[in-house]
Amino acid sequence: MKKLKIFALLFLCLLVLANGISVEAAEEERYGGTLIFPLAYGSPGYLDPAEVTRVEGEIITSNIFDRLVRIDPETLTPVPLIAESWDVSDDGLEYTFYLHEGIKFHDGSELTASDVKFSFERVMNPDESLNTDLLHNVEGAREFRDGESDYISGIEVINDYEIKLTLESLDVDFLLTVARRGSEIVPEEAVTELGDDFSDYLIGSGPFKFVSWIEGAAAELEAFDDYFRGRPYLDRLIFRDMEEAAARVPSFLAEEIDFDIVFPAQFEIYAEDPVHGDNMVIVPELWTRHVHFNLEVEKLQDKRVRQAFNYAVDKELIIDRLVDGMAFPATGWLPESSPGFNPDLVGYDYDPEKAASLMEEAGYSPDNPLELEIFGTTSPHFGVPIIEAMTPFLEEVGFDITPVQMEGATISDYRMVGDFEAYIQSHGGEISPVEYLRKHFWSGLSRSEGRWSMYENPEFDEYIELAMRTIDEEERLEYVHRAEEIIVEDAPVFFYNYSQAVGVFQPWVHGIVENPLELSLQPFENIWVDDSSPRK
Amino acid sequence: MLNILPGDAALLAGDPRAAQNPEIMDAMRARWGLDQPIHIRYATYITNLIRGDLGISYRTGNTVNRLIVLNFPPTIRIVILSFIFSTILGISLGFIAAVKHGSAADIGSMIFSIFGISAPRFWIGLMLMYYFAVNLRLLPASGLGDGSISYLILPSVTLGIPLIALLARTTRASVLDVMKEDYVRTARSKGLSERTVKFKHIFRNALISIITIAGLQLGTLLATTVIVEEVFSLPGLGRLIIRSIHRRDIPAVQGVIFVFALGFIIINLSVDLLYAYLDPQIKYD
Amino acid sequence: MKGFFKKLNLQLIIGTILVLIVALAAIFAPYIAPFDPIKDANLLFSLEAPGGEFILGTDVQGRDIFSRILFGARLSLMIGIITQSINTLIGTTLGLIAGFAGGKIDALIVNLTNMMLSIPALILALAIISAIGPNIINIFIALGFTMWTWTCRVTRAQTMAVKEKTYVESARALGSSRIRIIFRHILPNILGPIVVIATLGTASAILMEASLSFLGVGVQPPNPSWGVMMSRGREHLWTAPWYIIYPGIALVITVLGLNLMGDGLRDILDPHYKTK
Repeated sequence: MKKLKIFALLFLCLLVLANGISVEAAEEERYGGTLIFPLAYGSPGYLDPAEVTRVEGEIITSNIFDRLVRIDPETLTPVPLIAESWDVSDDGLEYTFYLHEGIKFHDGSELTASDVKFSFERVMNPDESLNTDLLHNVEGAREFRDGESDYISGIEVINDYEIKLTLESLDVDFLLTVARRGSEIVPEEAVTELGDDFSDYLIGSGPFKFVSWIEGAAAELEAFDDYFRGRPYLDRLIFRDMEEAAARVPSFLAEEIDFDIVFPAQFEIYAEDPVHGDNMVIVPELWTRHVHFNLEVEKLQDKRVRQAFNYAVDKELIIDRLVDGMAFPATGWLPESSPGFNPDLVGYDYDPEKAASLMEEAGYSPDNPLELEIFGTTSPHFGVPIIEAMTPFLEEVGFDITPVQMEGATISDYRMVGDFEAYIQSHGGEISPVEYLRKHFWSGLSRSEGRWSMYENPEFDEYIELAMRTIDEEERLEYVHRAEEIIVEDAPVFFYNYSQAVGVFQPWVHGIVENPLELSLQPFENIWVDDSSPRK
Repeated sequence: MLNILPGDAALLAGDPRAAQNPEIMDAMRARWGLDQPIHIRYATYITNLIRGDLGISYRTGNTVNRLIVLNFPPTIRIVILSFIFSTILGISLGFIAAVKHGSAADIGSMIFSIFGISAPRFWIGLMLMYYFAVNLRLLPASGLGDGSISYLILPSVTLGIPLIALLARTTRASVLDVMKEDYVRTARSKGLSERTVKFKHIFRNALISIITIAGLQLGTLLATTVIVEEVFSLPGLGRLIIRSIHRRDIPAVQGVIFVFALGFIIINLSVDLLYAYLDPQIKYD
Repeated sequence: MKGFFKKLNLQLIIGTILVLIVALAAIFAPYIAPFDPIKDANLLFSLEAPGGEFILGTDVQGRDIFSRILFGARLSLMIGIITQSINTLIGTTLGLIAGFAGGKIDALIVNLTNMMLSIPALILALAIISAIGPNIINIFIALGFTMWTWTCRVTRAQTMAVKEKTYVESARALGSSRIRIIFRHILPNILGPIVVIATLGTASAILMEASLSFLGVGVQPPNPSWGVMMSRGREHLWTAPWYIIYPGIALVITVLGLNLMGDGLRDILDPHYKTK
């Protein structure tokens, strides 16, 4: 039975991958109504876009603020948003963006190129922002960030609707940068005027206006009538903070929420329901769940130990039992939905004997185990419960595991300063395979910019830098594969699984898109509810 | 109690590991003005407190005052709801048990009350959720929903069961005591109808000790919202405090504890005053 | 009156039996338990329903819930007894001092007690845990130093009552030292109420530990605390209700047993004491 289910899922996923289909709407779009969407991953904390570093916040802010370009969830390529078009110079270093004219912010002021410049300087200013790695490749941005200059030389306002960014070095994926978290355009005038109070008003130019956010309860947004791409269908959009998966089910069944992010333990409840079973979406997401090792900890500097960890754990069994088959065992760092996925990569199979012998070579055995503390959240899929499930496998080959349970934000604090041995987490949401690898393993980054393991390998750096500068798609992919192979061999992480997101929507909801970046990042401006909704 | 309030850097980490790490500490200190000497911080904190300013939460960027105002309504709603129905139910149960002393009703209500006191509230809550929301699908399982009262029924019952149990016991004991008193016997011997004796004399005189217990338990009720809100995912003060502890958001933790403490003190004071009013024999110097 | 007495003893008997069952389970856990509570995690058996090899079913990691409950009894009783010992020590000492010394010292201790009593123990414990972090030792601290107030109150009241008794007066007249009076004459005479409070206090300490662990600020996984087990079981309330039900029943039996025992003891040892 279980096998059958997995096959069915795989089949569905293949379908999804092949077509990138969105759920078709046969009826006529309808204006009005309220959509209630759960925040399944917990509270977002900060909502000022410069301070949003995790997807929890982006789920809300991406509806209030717009970026220069956006990622089309179906093709995973950049498409126009605030910038209606752009030019790239022949050397690939100069990007000129032509802004859509007449875009209004929620306070009625007009969005111009100086707002763009202001927003970009704001995001690179460590006093205002937690996303200061964003424009690292723009000329003068690092000097600005480090306080060595008071402007970014690579940003030039040509006129009200034209802005030019100059890069330090070639970066083929640069357009994705201005579609990424942190690159939202904020109104210069309002931000300057409001100062720290800006986070209470959150004035953007996106399809929805911010109404309120109550910590632990809900964020409320309403339609922005003057949105430059046309008013969204929904009148109101509410994000309800509902972290407990078991508690979301009765709410969904009672029609109190219009969507649910389905966790494995609840999958069958929906799948076996005659109505809801047909309204489910399953998306292989661009996220990699893994255990990150801190390579500054001496005992973890031995590659054999890290490889042994990878060989020791039967991840397929864990996925089957704890994640209900809703994930693919990871062979490397780039998930199957990534354009950089390498199907030929073997990775680490479950091989306890090999693990034990590697541990023995490194000087450990079950009688003389390597003590390892692993941080994790309460997440049943990539938190302490998973560590507990891995523990018997690991102890058999010579580890002594202590799980430490803490909040995601707390784990961030520790890894920011390197005060950890290992942690289990999920990273991702990045389309560019080059950037996804660079962001965590390139030695040019500081720890707080994302190189949590402090991994360092010049060979890897070389391939990444080559990939960044190579325009030819095939050659570029080759470098990516090489770089990933090095990462897999060096094993600065335990490659656990590539996640699949499952969602279920009420029959009256139309326009849900299978976004592999993150299922909760829906194009809410295109979503509408028909009149069978209790909140029409 | 106040000495737990001022935001010391050692407290802000919420666990000792971070407190040992100079880098986390420096970063936190600088961000929240904790690099000033402790007596100045203490003074600032107290001055702000007197002005009603509880500071700014580390994790949400909101003021703690605002967090508290936003999270206050669900908490106060379930506390009031469960207080009203638990007192009514608990007192009636205890009264019936005492008047029908030794009957099956008496024994039954006493068994219920010892269970009610012994069972952990989160377990009661989960069991109620399992039967009424998951199995029978009669009531919503969690959250505030559209704000209708049906969402508050299970949380309020969970919150109230131990209070019902305790009040039933107390009422029974004090009614039994009062029944032995001379004036009740006198009333009876004067030939007043049994009904009058029961309701007028016994009940009124037993009321004093019942009110004291009920009043003091109101404080416990408020504290238990921490558990109940967590079980039923209600966005109230109790959940705020637990989340803030997990996130090491010390200003928020301190703020909520301060508000809770203030609440308990006000409740206790009111009970004392009410007590003095009801029983003129007691004087307060 | 005789029937009344009989009924009270029934409380004590039932209570003692329940507590004994739990205590024996705790003591002999390693011999009774068919599996190791932490190490015997076999994913092949995750979330098995009760019956067969796993009497009460398994959890997500494939650990035997029955074995975990048995070892959980150890943890619960240990925490209950240790914290209550701290409480009794602090409460009795302060109560004796206050009741015996009177005057300013008494006023100071009474004020301290009232202040602590005005804030429910759960909130105080949360405040302490939030400052020092969650682990077993810190639970001892958080609960041991917050729940002594009732002991202190009762000890003080009893000491004051006993102090006026003729035998204490005469011992004092004979020139016995204060320490001697306290240990020879006062303490033995107020031991009853202290034992009653200690029994009931152990019950609330156990309940408190379970609550803190349930909230994630108490005992940390993978330790088999009943509170931790139930907090994990929430996720599976729909599909594996045994995950929550059985640890809960174990907890109810323990606390119920201690409460019944306390009530029963009170009626024998301390006949004047009325239900609070």
